[in-house]
Amino acid sequence: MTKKIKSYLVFTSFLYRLVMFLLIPVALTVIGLQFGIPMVAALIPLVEIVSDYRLFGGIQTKEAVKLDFLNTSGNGRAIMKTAISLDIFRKLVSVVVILPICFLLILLTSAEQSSDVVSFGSDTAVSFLCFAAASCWFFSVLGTYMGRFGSQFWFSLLMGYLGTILEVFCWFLPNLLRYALLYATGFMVLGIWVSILAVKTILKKVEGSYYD
Amino acid sequence: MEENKLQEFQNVIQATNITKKYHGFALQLPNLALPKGFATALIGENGAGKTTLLNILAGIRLDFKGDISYFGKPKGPINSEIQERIGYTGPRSYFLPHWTLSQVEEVNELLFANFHKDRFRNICQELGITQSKVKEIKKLSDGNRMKLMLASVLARDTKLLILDEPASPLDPLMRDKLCDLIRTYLAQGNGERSVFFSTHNISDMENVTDYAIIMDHGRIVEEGFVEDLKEKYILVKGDGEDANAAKEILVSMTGSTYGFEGLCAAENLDRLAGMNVVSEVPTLSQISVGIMKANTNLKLSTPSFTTHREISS
Amino acid sequence: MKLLQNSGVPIYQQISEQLKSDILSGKRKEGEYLPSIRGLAKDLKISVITTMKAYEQLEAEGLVTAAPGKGFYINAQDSEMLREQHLRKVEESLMSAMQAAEIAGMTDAELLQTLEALLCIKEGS
Repeated sequence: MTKKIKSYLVFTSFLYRLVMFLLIPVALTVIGLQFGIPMVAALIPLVEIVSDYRLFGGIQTKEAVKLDFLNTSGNGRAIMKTAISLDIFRKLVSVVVILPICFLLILLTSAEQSSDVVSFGSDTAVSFLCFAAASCWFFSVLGTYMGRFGSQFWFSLLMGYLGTILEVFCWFLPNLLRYALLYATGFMVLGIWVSILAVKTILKKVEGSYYD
Repeated sequence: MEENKLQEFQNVIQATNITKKYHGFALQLPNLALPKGFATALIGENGAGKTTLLNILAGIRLDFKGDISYFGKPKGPINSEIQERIGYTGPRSYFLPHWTLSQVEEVNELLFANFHKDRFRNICQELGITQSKVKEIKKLSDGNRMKLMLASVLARDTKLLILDEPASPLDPLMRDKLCDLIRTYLAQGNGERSVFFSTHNISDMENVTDYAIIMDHGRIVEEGFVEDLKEKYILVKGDGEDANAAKEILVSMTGSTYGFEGLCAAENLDRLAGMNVVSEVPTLSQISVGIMKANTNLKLSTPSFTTHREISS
Repeated sequence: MKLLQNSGVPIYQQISEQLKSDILSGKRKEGEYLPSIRGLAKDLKISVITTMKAYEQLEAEGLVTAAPGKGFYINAQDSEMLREQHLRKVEESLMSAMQAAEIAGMTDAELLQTLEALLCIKEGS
């Protein structure tokens, strides 16, 4: 497992680790306190997609899969696969950690802007959080995957905005609170499907780099 | 006797019927053999197919036809075990641009079982690239990037180095150092290690080249041990008036009204008898250029060999 | 070992000549191994094949023998052959002296006198 985590971390810069594991969670929590959970959920896809391009070295972009160095080793493909999979998993862990913490802090501080959240019963709260996490994770993964089809920064940025807008629309889904868990399950399934697609596409590209 | 002796050597790579077709270009090598224990230079024009060949041998290009045998083993597709013993450096995208020196070290450890961290650090120090420990690769100069690739492959226990244009990005001092590194690598291998590199900087690399393969249009047009090639070809220089007659005999030549210079196959030297020519042992660079000239599609200016007298009359 | 890049004498020949004189003068002893081919190439900053050719030339002249997997060792120098080699050197030098004398217009007697005079000086010193 250590080796797997190392395979992932090795693709990330120090700056990426600092930003993704510290700065962004803190910033999002602060924003959440001010503007509520939906705002955080909407921002996550943008942040994830853009930072993927800027910091993860655009590992999913067109040029990145032509790393001769990785191809000179029999382990290259496996390491790439681990890195991509773990990154998707890390995205999920991020939302699963950030959103509940945010929620708890809101409850504790009873921030005025989120009075509606405070009024939730515990059941509603859980399904509400599940919905928020699943939907914004799905858009993060989808956006990162789509980002690969362009290689410029503006394209990633566009995907980021798109993810955010879609996430915002999600909050207007009919009977959201009642069907939150159902919606959440739907987004999880979609998210997993896109994840598998993303990993497969990368591996196909890496494979293809031996045959271009 | 010498000839026979040199043919006794084993080959580190033995390949048959290597073909790779692109539109408008085909790499076709019926037989390719690299002598074990030596440094072999791959020489040729841009587009001759050097990089394609090196990529195929390094196992980073798999869409080709043909059979390759590595290290005297039976022919078969390249595998991790073979790749573990080959160190490759190349001009295309190699490391991720945002990696730092420490990350390169970590990735090397992940990718190769025979990577030695201490040796890597020592070589980096020796090559003067430690200051860039936290510097991202995209901010390194081409020369330093090359040094980092060299340090990476030299820090592993390999039997074969495949270096695509290692000299090009390096300054003269570092090219000298590169030659030293290659010679040391060979000396430490005691005949078991080999190097295969492509180069346009033939003069700088001549003193480290044992065997030369000259390619053009995807084919090998000449190959041999450098000392043999230097006996096979002779550099001749002569007067302008003999140029047209000599042109028929020489492999290739350049000339002006003042005189000509060209490469002559040793066996054809007799046919120059009667002309006022001087001969010299050619350098590898002169041999290569002479042979490349004879095979190129480039429109090199073909001088009209009018003599002095004709001009003055 | 001093190697000249542009002397017109091939590098391998310069190496074999210098090793040969080392062997004939007894600087390198019988049974001793020559430096390894790749080691010498590294030290002299030349290609492996060049040193190899130099060694092969020495082998062809019977000065050294190749021991597979071990390197080249120096043969016992038969004293007759050694004397022969030295004699040939003397002859070569005298020949060039004769040529020079001819160009200078010296008679044979004058040439002999010069040689005698030189021998006297050497004995005297």
